[in-house]
Amino acid sequence: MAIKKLKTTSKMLVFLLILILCVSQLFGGARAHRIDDDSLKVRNLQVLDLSDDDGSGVRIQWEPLPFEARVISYRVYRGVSPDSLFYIGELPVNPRIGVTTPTMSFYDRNFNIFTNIASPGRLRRERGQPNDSPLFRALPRDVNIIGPMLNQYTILGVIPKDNFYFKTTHVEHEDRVFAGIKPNQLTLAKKLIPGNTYYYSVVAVNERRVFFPPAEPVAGIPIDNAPEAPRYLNGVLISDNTSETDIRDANLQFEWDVPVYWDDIRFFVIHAVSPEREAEYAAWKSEMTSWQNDYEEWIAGLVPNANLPIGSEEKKQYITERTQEFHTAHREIVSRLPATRIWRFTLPQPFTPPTYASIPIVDNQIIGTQERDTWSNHTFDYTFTEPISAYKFVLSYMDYVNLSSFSDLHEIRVMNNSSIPVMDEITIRDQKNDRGDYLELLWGKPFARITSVTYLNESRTNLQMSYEYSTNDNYKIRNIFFEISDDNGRVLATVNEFFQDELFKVKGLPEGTGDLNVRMWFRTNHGEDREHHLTQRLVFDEGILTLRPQQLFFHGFNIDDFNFQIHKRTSFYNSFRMSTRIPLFSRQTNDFINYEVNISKAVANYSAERGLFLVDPNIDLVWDEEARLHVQVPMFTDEVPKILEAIQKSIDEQQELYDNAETEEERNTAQSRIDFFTTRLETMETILQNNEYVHQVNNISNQRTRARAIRRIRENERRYFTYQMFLSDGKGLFTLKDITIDDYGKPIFMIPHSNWFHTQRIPMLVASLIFGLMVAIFVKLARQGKDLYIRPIAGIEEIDNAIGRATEMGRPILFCPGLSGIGDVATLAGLAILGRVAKKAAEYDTKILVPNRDNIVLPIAQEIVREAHYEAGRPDSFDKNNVFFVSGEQFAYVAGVNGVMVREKTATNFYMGMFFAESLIMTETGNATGAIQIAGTDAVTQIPFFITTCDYTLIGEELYAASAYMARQPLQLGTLKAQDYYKFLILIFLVFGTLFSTFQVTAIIDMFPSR
Amino acid sequence: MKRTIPLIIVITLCFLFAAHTFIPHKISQDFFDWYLDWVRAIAPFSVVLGIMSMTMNHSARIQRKTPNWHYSIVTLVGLYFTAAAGFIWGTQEGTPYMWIFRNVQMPMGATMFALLAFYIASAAYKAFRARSAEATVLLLAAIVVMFGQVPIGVQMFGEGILDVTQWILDVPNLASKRGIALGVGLGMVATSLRIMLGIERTYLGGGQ
Repeated sequence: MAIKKLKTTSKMLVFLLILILCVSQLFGGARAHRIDDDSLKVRNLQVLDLSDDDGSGVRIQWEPLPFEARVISYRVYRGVSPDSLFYIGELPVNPRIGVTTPTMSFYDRNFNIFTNIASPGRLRRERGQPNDSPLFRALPRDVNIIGPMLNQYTILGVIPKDNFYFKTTHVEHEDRVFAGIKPNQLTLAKKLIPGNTYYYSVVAVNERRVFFPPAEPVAGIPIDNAPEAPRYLNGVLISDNTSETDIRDANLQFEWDVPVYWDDIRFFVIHAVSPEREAEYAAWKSEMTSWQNDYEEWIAGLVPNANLPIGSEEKKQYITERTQEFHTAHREIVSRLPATRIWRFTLPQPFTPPTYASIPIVDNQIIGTQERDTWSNHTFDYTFTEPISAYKFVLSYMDYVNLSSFSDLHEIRVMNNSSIPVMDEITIRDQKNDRGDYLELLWGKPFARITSVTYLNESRTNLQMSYEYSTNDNYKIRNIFFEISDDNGRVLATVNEFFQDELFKVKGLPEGTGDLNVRMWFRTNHGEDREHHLTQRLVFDEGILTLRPQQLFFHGFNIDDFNFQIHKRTSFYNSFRMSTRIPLFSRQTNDFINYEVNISKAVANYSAERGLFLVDPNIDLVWDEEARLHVQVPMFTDEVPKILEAIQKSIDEQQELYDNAETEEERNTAQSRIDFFTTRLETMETILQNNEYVHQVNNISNQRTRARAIRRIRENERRYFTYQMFLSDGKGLFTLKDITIDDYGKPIFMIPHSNWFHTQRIPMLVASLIFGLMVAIFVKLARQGKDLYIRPIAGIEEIDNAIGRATEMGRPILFCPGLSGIGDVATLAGLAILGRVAKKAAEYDTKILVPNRDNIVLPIAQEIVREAHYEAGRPDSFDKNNVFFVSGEQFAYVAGVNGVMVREKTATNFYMGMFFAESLIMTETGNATGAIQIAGTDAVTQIPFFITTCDYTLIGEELYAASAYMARQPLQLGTLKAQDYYKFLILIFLVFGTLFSTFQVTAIIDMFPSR
Repeated sequence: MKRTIPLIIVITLCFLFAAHTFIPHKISQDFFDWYLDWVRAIAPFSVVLGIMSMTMNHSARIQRKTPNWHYSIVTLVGLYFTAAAGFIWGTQEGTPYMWIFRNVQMPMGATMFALLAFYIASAAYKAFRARSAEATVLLLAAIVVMFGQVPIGVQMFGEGILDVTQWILDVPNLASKRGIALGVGLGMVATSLRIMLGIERTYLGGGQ
């Protein structure tokens, strides 16, 4: 007795010791706190302007702390004054490796998260910081804190669409109407404003979550720079003329790469430089480079220059004036550009920038275009006086503050129209069986290529080839033929792939066969077409001792040299943008057309009293083709007359100014404003009268109904698309094709539709219906008293004996319902068996223990066992604590269950449900304790372990059958019988499918969907 | 009523989700997403049930001083201390919570997992005893596959063993796996059908 007590006491002491060690470790160091040691501040913190950008970016750079500091992250803080800096992001570091570079950089550029739903609700100082610390956690979702910052940043509200339509409130603020929205109903994104001063600090945090002292805040001023100079301009003159000096009908084509920062580029311009002006251009470019260097140098010295206090009005004024001086000098240099503008693209925001230009040439001339529909894409009159190939060309970008950058001089290639593949006919259609967010684009006939080759024997007479193919829904491949020949043109083998498993073997090639040529063609639902063939060469590689597939050729064109680009535009905008880039090998693609999720609105103001951010209540509804503008409607009812009234009032005010003007200049100004407001009023009135959608919306008086109508019309209009296909080698050799145009050349807009039935799942539906029918038939037969024979399953039949054994031994039963959640059918099957086992156990008055891993399964299991005890008439013997939660962690659960087996000495263990790697650990322990074990699972990988270590195992479907088998009720047995017959049906399909396929008849395989 | 209402909910939702399989329409997809949002929102509350169950179970053991009751103290202290550490200091790198996770839970889990290697050896010994004709076939197949997986097998028997191994894995092994998978699939459908039609109600508690 004394020894036992001593053992217990020593165990207790060990546990307490471990606990004390853990707790002391935690409290001794791991707590988040701050230490004051200036050597642990990050050094050389600098805030540098980002070059080539739109003035919304800075780079925060610092020297990392030494490895010994065990830093786990560097946290960056930003503010508009040095006394309040908010956390904006961190750079994580692996403390075991540290930082290997001399400096670290954090970029704060473009729009990024300002506040969102994860931001704190109120202002909170950073962890472990003293009360006078300038460091705060992330900006809070507090209008009173964010509101005053609205003029320090460009703030964009990203509003979930239904929040905008249904949760905004009508707010009149400073004589304007706004849509007010709560801070937790939108995400705010910010952009720095060029010329403003921002302060940054960086704090290192070590692996024990200790915050080191913050670096002294450092100021930075983002400045709008000239765009990055274009690096490449690939030009091609496509001409079928033989004479270079007499180009009658040709096309000058260019391609280039998109610059990294293109957000503020307004114009893309191509200039021609005649041979005699090349030297002049070089000198001019050098002058421009010199200006660029001066400008960058001035920007770099802006903050260190302490003549004027940082952030002061004087400094702002100085920056504005000096920037203007630089800009004026830049414009003066640009005005002397020794090149002639031949093409210009105006980038309509917010689309992706162009990467190509196509300029028609007639009689050595470029004819200028000023058409209304091509406003974003101009050519300018120009006559080539020398052969065009002698000219050099320059690409330039100009941003919104008229700063430009220019490429070097680039030559062009001269090619003819036969250098480019003919583009196939393209079909566009709604993708079937989807929620209406895809359009399908299909073109051309199938392609195939060899992807790898392996020798199957040392004499190299047998080969295994892998291939891939691409097709589209217009062409269903029946057979792919591969004709393999040697360099002498001798055909060595022809392979007919009637079932395309992307692998075939070639046997009996002559010994010592070297390089091979493969010719591929197809038999499709349109018949066999030997003209449509592809060729590929397989070259023996001495390095890897096998044949290496080379490039694929189709009618003399190298397929790998060309790519497709799909360009699209909505009926909502009038400019194309690139949707996707795909290899020429592809024969089909689909284009994602999303349903609108968020609406972005600039945050114009805020209402401190009501705690709301204020945004423009007007929203783009449709594109009006007549007026050539986006029609906007106010979100709130009864606003239209007020808007018209306000415009009329502005006209009257200007009229009064005009009447009382004393100078000609004042009169002119007033008159131009009158004209502007009058035009606006007339346009609005025309739209209100003629636009059907606007009419529809304005006739609705109920706010919610109006919002719903706006949502429906806007979403619908935004999802209509028209397409262009662009086939290019990426170096200026391209062809462009409008896919969706009508007979009059006008674009046809297409919209994807939501489908009500998934046609590819018809076989699944039919199979389900057949199975349901069979169940109904057998249930009926069983009810009529027909004796349905169910084959005996040893594992199920032994369940009663196993429970009896536990009763005889006076030990408990253990039942594990698997490790899956309630969503797994195996768990449901396990729980159904639990009901039967628990009832039997209750009848025999045997304790049943049910350890659970899933929180949701736990109450269900408790209820099942409780009900079982009630049904057995033994409610007194039910103990809720016998059905218990062990752990959500897989191996912690195993440890717990093993402990139960060993301590409770369970006589019978059931494992019914889904199991993973823990199955063997549990069953081996059960085996060691001498329990009789019955397992059932549908996890194929665990079945062998159960078979090895358990006395009986329900394999796969037997688990699902067990409950019904034990119930022995007609309804349940009917489903079992139907299951058996259905399996027989599947077997018939399998046998016949295999037989037919062997004889190249794929009818049965084709009955089922391939994807 | 206690069983009827849950049964109606189950049957209705079963039919709705069965229909959802065949209806790709946006309305159906949105309904499914909405349902998933609710599941995600409700599921964390069930954690409370798990914690309550653990607490009651282990408290009872401590109170009753059942054999090895002091393990229950460790369990409860571990449970509540870890939760408190997460709530107080957060769950980021460097916090006490992460310290416990890295230095207690991970090594313990790895230890349990490591035991598996020994159990597999023990199970293999049991399985590969040639007690019957079937067991002998199993033994031979296992030997071939094992030699096919290690370089010494190729050294001893040549490259042919690789083909035999691959054949065993690709043909008889895969065929039986697919056979089981087929039965499992049908079993799942049958069980689902029994639940949908209200034939199987054991999961609601009790028998029929």
